[in-house]
Amino acid sequence: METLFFYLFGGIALLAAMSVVAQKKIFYSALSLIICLGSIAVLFLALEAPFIAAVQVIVYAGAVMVLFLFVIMLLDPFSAAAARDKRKRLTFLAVALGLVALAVLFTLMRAHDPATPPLAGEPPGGTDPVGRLGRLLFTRYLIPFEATSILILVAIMGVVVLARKRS
Amino acid sequence: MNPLIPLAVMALLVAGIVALFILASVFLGPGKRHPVKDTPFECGIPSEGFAGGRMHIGYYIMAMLFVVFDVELAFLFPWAAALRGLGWFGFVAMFLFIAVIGAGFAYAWKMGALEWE
Amino acid sequence: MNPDELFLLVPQSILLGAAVLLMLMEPFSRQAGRRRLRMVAVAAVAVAAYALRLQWGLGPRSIGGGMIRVDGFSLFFQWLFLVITGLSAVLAADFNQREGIDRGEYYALLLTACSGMSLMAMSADLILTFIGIEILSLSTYILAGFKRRDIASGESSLKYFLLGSFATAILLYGIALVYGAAGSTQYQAIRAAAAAGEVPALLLPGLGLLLVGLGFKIGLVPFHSWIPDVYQGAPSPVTAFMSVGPKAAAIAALLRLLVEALPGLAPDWTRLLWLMAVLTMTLGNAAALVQSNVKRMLAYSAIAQAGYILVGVVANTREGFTAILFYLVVYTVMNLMAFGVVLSLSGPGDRRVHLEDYAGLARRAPFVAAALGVALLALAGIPLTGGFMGKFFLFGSAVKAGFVGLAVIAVLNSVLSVYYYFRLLVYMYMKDAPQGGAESISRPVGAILAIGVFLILWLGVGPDRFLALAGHSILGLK
Repeated sequence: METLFFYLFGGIALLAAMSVVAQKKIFYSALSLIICLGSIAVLFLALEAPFIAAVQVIVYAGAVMVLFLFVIMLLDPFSAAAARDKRKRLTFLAVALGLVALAVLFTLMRAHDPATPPLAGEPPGGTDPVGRLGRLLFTRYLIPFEATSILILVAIMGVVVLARKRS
Repeated sequence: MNPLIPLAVMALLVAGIVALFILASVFLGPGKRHPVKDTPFECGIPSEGFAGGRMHIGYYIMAMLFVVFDVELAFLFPWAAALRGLGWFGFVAMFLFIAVIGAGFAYAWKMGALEWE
Repeated sequence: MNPDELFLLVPQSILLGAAVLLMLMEPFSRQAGRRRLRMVAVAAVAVAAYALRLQWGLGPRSIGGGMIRVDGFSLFFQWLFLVITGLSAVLAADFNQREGIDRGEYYALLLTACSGMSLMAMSADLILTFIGIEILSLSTYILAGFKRRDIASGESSLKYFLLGSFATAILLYGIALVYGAAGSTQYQAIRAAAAAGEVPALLLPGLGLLLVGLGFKIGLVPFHSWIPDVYQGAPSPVTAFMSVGPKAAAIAALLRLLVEALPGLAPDWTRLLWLMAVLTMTLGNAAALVQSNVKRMLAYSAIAQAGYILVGVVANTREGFTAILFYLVVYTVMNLMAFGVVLSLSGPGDRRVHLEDYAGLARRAPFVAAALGVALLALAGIPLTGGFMGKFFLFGSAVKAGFVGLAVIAVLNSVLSVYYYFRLLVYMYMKDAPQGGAESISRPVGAILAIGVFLILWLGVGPDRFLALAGHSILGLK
């Protein structure tokens, strides 16, 4: 059953990823990317990593996608005719780098022995990984957690100070 | 029985019904083309202007504020999962976090960052 | 978290509470109340300094299971950052009113930046160090672009933000590699992992990327290219703050990281930093020689000064670290004085910052010219000033640690730097003023300049007390 899910959502993720590259209109690429990220979130869920799945949706499909839209809005790709000339060379480079990545991944998969323990930290534990993460966040990492609220506050001030309309 | 089987059955049903409806409208509909029908549907309002060019600054403010509060959400999830074991201490810790961001929210609201010009 | 640990966090909590208050004062308080923004900021700094005073002499402690270290080192830097923040608020007040940017967020961001810097000095865990760096960086990105109507200010902010985000990404990559190699982000655990037998292979590239990220914040060559444009375009009080605060904070974080987490890799990082120190001093001084904009000249001077400070890190001895702390005090005083004069004279629109604008300053405003003169003499390292003593201790520590070549290069660089510092002096004292209007300077800035002159001479003649304080402060660093 898990295998079926893996192939179903893995397939959707792959198709969506190809659509990201293949689409002529950049907004369609962005929409395809959301589908791709969503399917990957399901894969994380199947791996019993619910927090990563949630973060995948909240941070990637939410925040990071908005930032992509930012770039699209800023760079105005509709009038960028000059960029098209560079495309051929970039395609070649992308294919070459993709092949290199594939080779590396393949070698790593061949070399991987399922019995080896993870490189760092404790293995993801028990029946309640999110709860464990939460307890860590509120004990050992309490100070960084509270400091993060200040970071978010500064970001809010930045938005208002730099982008507010005339006062 | 594997608990995932009902889920898979539902997923197949959903996909099947959606496919059925789309195919039915493709084959059964008259399919006449008309310039008005070919324009993008914008909630019934005639679409206007060009999608490119400079965007209004309001979009950026809204989007940035969304990102900021969205990131905050990622912290609420593990807190909710661990709250039972953390008790009052966890409540106070999260209250401080939310209070600081709430102050930022009040500030942004009062400064008019949430209004559209 | 017990009450004892909370007590140690009181100074930072005061700063952050005041920052929230200042932010909310902007939309919620009436126009009349907003005149007191500067007073709220300075009062918060003073109360935080008092709370910090109560911690002096408690002995080294750690909070949150070794996440934060409260020892002489972090107390010293918290003090320094409070002084820098308080002085920056005072220096900024009149300028901000003149330029129409006297807003609550300005002072709120100064206070959050101060907190970020303090976290960087106190942190003994890469996660917290990173968050401290980010709080500081975001605050300064916004401050650099605070004058929204000014295109130079916007350019400064955008350049700083784009390059800074890139540096942050590299830093984060370095943290990930170190975590992968050591299995922990805590400094003590990283140290233990490097000490047990052979050094993990990923640790070295991790160290390299961390040096890139922190080197960007300090402004070390070849990661310095943002400094001239950002310093020139930002509002002058912000430049004054940026040239001392973030630099000192990044050096504090660098020292803690290298000495507490990565002493096992000392041969590697001393070699790397040796090269960076030489490049930073030489390039900074060479570029400063040809500048005609005073803010830009001081920006290149700030790059070169970071190179001198790096000499003490390369020495990697108690003497070297003591000299760094001492020199940071001197550097703060002389740089804030120089920028205090620059921002007072810059006139409407922050435009009068060229060498010609300083012609005949000695006749128009003798006291201001004399104060700037003392600051420049100190920056050049002329005897009887604190600048000379600081350089003497720094380069001396390098000689004692066996880095004679580095010390020679540093001394030659100091000689080179005399040219451009003196050129400004020549303009002030030897050239005639094109238009002879008297310069006005606000009373608080005048008081800061007077105290600065006194401090620089005191540090130059009798540095013993400060040196002892610095020596005591680094005892926690181990």
